[in-house]
Amino acid sequence: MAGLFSSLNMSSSALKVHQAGISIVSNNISNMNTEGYHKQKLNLGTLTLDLPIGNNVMNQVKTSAGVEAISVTRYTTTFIGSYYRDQLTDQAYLEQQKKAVTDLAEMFDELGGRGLDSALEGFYEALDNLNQYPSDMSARINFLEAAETLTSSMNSISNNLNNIKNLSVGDGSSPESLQQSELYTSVQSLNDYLQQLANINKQLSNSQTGTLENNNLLDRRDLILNEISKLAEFKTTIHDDGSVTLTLGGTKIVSGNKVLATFDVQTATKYDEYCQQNGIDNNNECNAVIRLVKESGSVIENVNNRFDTGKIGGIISSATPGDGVNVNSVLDNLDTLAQTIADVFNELQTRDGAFYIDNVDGNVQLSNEDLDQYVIFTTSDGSAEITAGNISINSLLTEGDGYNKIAAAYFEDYDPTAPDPLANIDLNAVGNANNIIAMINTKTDNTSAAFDAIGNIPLSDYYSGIISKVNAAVTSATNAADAQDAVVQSLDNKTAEQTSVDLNEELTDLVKFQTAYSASARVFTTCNTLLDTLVNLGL
Amino acid sequence: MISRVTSTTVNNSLVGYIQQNYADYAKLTEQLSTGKKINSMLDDTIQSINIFNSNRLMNRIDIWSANIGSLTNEITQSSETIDLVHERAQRAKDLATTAANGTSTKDTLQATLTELDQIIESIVDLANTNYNGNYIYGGTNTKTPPYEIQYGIDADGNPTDEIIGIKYTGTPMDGDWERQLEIADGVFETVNVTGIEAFGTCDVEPVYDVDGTTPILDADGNPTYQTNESSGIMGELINLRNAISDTVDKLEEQENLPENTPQADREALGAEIKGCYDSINGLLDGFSTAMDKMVQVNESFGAETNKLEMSSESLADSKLNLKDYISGIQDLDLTEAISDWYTSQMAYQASMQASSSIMSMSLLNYM
Repeated sequence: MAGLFSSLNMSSSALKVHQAGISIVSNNISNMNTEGYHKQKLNLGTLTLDLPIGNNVMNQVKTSAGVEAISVTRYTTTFIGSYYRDQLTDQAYLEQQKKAVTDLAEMFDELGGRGLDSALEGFYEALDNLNQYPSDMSARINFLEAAETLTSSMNSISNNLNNIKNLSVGDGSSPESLQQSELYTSVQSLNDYLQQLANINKQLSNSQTGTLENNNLLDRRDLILNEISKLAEFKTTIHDDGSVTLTLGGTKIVSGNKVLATFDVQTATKYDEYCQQNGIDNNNECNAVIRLVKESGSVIENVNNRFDTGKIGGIISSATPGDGVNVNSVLDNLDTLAQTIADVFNELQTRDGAFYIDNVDGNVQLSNEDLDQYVIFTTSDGSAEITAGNISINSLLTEGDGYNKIAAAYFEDYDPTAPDPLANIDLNAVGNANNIIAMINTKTDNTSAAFDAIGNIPLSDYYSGIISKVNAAVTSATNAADAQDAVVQSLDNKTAEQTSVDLNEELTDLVKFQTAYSASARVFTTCNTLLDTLVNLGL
Repeated sequence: MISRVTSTTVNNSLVGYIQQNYADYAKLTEQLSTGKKINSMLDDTIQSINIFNSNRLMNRIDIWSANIGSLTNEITQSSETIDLVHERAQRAKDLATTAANGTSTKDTLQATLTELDQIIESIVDLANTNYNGNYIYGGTNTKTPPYEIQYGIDADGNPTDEIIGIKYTGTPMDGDWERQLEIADGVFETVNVTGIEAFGTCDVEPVYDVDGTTPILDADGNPTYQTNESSGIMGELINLRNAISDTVDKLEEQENLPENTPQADREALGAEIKGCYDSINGLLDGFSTAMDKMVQVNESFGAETNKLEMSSESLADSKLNLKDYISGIQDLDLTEAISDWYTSQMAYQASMQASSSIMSMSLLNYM
């Protein structure tokens, strides 16, 4: 009798178990497009009763207990998660570098009609024209316009480069600009992920391993860890219950259900104030400074150097002066170029022996009176140092008949110390363009001290050098990023191969469980019929 | 164990392939529409630097070629002017030869003098040629005419219309007289010659008393002149004019001799007149030298024009080579590109077709 009932019990437990199997299939199919979802599997086992049975086979048959659901496991990768995350970190870093240099290169896309070269060459072309017509008003105005084009091109490129820099780390002083920067938003999302991770840690420690809930939490945890590793590289320790401890440069950031320290970004100016108040050497060169605020309230002021990789590391390194080509080094180069242009041409314009045209009562004559104030290039903001951002044309030359003040003529014999320096000078020689020729010659003759700053090479060669450096940086950054993409891609594929949901597999499982369910139901009916037969025996 | 192939991996790869094919197709389409392989520096960071440098050199070559054009034009203009001056000077020399044979009457010589004045005026006009806004023979003194005719004065210091000199006011040869244009990196070619080199000068001033207004007169009561500088064809023209003018004066004196003039005086005057003719004759060599000078200048122009022509040709060659070079890097081989384009179009279509048929298939269709 006991045997019949145990068959009934067995088939009823089988019905439950296979229904559960269909639920898991249903869960798998529902989540087949969920990011980070790992296929789950219901592990079945024979149910054993903890009874002394003995050697009698019939007894054994009678007392076998059927099937039970042991656990729900996730399909996991054979790859160590931390290796994958390291690759993600590198990928994010290289991608950020590539983006930064590509943005730079776009500023100098000479073939796409951007950059400085046409302005620089146009300047020399205008000089050539001025050499041909040194006393001609239109040639002089044309030259000033070409010079103006050159300075405004430099201003605009410098401005764009600064914008690139501001968009990544802010302008260094205004909090508004900082809050709109990529660094700021990245650090904010890092803080968000850290909080989410702490929450997951808490839930994980409360849940039982091998359960559906636990598996789902692990999926979420892995996703968050991936996102965190795209931003920065943490030392990750995974505990038995699945919870994670994150450490950055020796400081515990997340442990258990708590975020022990959050990241905060402040402007370089703020950090400088802090350094001055506390008598600390400020060797920070980045416009934004990340600091670590601990739960206890203590603060580590500058942790920029702990971010040497990941997206945040990429942003910091592409906006901090360093060895490589980045927005800072290019800005420095452009500033040097601007200073050199100003030095070279201002020196020729105002040297002893140079003469401009003076219109005395309609009588055109040469003069060198107050020549020193008629420099060609000056700054737009009144500062002494000329940069690509502030270089501009002396307004004395652009106002009224200021164009006459361009010193086209030059006399080698001029001796300012002579009693009458003008005695030997033919002031009617308005066709003398020797100074313009000297200016044109700066294309090839770069021996003067004004060229020292750029290594005594022509201006155009120096500019080509900037472009070549940027382009080479793009090439190497693109190659590195592409190679890393391929690595991550192949890891992604492997992971997907091993953990993703396959529809055919699920449908097969579905049919399998359905069939088992139908069969169990049939067993139940059969047993029921047997019982009926047995009951009717007595009638 | 066979590695798992799941619908997710298949879908991911299919999307990847389609995107790759589409990107190839779009890239080729862009190249075909522009006819260029490299449209921005990011398309090919290394070759684009070469294109960039070559483009810059081509622009410079354009400027140098234009300069050579300007040089050639102005030199041609200068050379033609010198030819015309030479022609006029030849006429003056012919007049001198005729006058020097001693058979001319006073009236003929008077007419010769008038024609000579016209020749001087037209030569000065030619030497003051203005081309492209510049007085081409003034050196760097381009905005004022380089030659001015100087006129004599009478005994009271009032100006007369007698030509006494042709003064050069341009840049002297020892000054900064050159106007130059660039014809290659750092190579400058001179456009001009100075008037003083080609035509010389003849700077003559009346001599005044210390007060600066009262002319100092000679024994005959005529104003005196001093010659500061005399050279070239300008100097010769004035010398010739003076010599003929002197001859005319002597002939007039001979005509007006009183009846009772002693024979000895007549003979003395006759000898003086002969001396005048001799001095006209003596000028002929100087004339030839001055005219040879002009021919020399013109020959140097010719040599320069030839040199410029060669430079211009070599610049044109360089430009052509650069164009070929750039075109080799940047331009699209259309045949190859179109065939690639069709291939990539097929690949794109095939990948979509294959994807759509595999994605729509699953066990679900058979249950």
